Amino acid sequence: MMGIKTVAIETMSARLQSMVAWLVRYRRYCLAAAVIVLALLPLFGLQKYYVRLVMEMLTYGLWAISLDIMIGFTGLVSFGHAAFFGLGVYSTAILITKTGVSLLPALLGGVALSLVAAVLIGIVIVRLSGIAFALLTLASSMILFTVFWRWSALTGGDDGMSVPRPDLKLPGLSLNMQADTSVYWFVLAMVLLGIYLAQRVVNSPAGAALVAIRENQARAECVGYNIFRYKLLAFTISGTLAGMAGSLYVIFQGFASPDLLHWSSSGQVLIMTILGGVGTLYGPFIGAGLIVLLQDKLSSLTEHWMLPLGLIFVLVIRFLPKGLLGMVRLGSQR
Amino acid sequence: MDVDSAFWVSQVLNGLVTGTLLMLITFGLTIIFGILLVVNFAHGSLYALGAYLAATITAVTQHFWLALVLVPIVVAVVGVLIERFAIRPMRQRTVIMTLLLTFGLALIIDEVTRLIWGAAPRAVPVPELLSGAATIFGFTYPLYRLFIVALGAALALLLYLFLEKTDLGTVIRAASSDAEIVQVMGINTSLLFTCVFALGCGLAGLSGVIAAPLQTVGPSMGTDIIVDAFVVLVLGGLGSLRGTVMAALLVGQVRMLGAAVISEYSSVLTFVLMAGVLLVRPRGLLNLGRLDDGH
Repeated sequence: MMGIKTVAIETMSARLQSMVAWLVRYRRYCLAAAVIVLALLPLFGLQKYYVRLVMEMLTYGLWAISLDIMIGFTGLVSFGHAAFFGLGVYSTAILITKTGVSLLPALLGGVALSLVAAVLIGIVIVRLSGIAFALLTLASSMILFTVFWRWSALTGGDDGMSVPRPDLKLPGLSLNMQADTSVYWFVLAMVLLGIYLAQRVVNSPAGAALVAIRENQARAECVGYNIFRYKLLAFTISGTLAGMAGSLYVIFQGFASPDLLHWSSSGQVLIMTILGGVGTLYGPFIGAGLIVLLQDKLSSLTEHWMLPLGLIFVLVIRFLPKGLLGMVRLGSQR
Repeated sequence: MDVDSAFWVSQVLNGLVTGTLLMLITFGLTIIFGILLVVNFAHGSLYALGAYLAATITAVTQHFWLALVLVPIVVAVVGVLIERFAIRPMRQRTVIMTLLLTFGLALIIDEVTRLIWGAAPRAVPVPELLSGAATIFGFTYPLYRLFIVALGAALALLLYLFLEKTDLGTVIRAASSDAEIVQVMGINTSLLFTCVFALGCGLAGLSGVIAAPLQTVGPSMGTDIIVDAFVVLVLGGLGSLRGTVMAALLVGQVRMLGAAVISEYSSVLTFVLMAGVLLVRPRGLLNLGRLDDGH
C-alpha cells in the first residue's frame, strides 16, 4: 500500500515539476497573460460583487507582497503590519472626507504619510530582530489602533467612517470613478505599479544586500554593509507599499474601520504571505488571492471559516515552511 | 470616608484585581517561555476556553468550585496535546516560526470554542459563598474580588515554593538555563517540556475560571486578553516569574488609574511602556528576563 502511494505521489510531483518548469521558462508570457486577463476582467460582464472581490484580492496582494519584503528579503517578521495598511486607509479617508481632494492626491497623501511613519517607526525599531522585533511591531501597531479607534472626532471611532469616492482629476481631464469598473482599472494599474516597484527593489543591488543580511547578518556586516541602513530601507519600502495598498483599499471599498489596524488584521496578512511563500514576492500575492477567495467561498457555507483557515496555516508552517510557491520553486530546481 | 477618596481607593483596589488576573494569566506564558522559549499566542484562547468550560460546569452542576478544580486539569490536557503534536515537532525551527504556529493554533482554538458554545455571551454567577461584600474601615468592596487577590497571592507563593524548594522545580530551573546539560544528566527533558507546557496551559484555564464571574464570557475574550498578557510578559522580562508579578501589578494600576485620569487612552500607556522596555531594557523592567540576544 505504502509503495503504491509513494509512486503515485512521485508521479504527481514529477508532473507538477514539469508544469512548473514550463511556467518558469515562459514566465514573462504567463505574467503578461495574467495582466491582460486581469485588465479585461470587467468587460466579461462580471458582477459588481466579483469586481469588488478581485479588487480586494489585488490590494491584499500588494499588502502581502509588501510584508514579504520585510520577512522574505530581510528576515524581519512583523506582527504589526496592519499599522501601515491602516495608516494608508485612514490618511486617505480623512483627506477625502475633510478636504475633498481628488483621487490622486488622496492616494499620494496616504502613501506619503505611511512613508513618513515607516521611516520614523523604522529608525526606532529595526535595531531589534526575532521575537523582540515581532513584539515591538505588535506594540506599535496597537498604539496606532487604540488612537484611531478612540479618536472618534476624527475617525468615527468604533463606527468607522464612510468615504465617498472622488473623481480622478488630471490637468484638463476629469474621470468619473463612481462605477466599480472604472475604479477597478485605476486600482489594478496602481497595484501593478506597486508590484513593479517591489520587484525592482528586490532585484536591485540593495535587494541582494538584504538577502545577504537575512542569510547571515554577521557576515554581511563584516563585508561592510551598513545593516541598520539596509534594514531601515526595507522597512520603509515595505511600510510605504502597505500604506499604498491601504489607500487603494479604502478608495474602492468606501469604508474605513479601526479593525483594519488591529493585530488580528496583521495576523491575516501574515497568513497570506506565509501561505504563498516568503521570499518569493509573487507567492504572497497568490496567497492573498487564495485566502480572499477561500474566505468568500467558506463564509457563504459556514460562519466558522476561520477553522479551516487556521488548520491550513498550521499545516503550512509545519510541513511547507516555504509556502506554496516556495515549494514549487524548490521542486523545479531539483 | 468621603466620596472622592473612596473613588480612588476603589480604583487602586480594582487595579490590584486586574493586576492579579493579569499575573495569573501571564504566569503560564512566562513559564512556557522561560523553559521552552516559546511565545504562546494560543494562551489567550486557552484562557477563554477555561472560562467557557467554567460557564458550562457551573450551569450544569451549580458548583463553581468544581469548575475551579476541574477546568485547569482539562485545559492542561489540551496543553499536553498541543505540545506533543504541534510544539515539539517545531523544536529545530526558529522561535519566530513557533510563534507563528501558535498564532494558527489560537485561530483554531477560538473557532472550536465558537463552534461548541456559539457566539452568544455566557454569564457565570459569583459563587454564593463569596457573593457578599466586605466592609473594611467603612469602605465596602465585593468579597469575590478580594478572594481573587488572595488566591493570586497564594498561587504566586506556591509557584515560588515549587520552583525554589522542590526537586522538580530545581530541574525545571536548570532546564531553563541549559536544557541540553540537563538532558545529559539523565533527565527526560521532552517529558519535562510537556509537563511545563501543560502547567502553563492549566494556569491559563484557571485564570479563565477566576475571571469568568467578573465579566461576560464571550468569543473575543481570548483576543482581548492576549496582548495585555504580552505587555506584562515583556515588562517583567520574558521568562521571569518575579518580574511578571511586579509588571502585572504595575499594569493593573496603570490601567485603572489611567482609566480614571485619561479614560480612553489608558491602554496606549501600557503599549508605550511595552515598546520602551523592549527598546531600552529587553530583559524587562527589573532586568530579570531571558531575552538578551534578540532571538
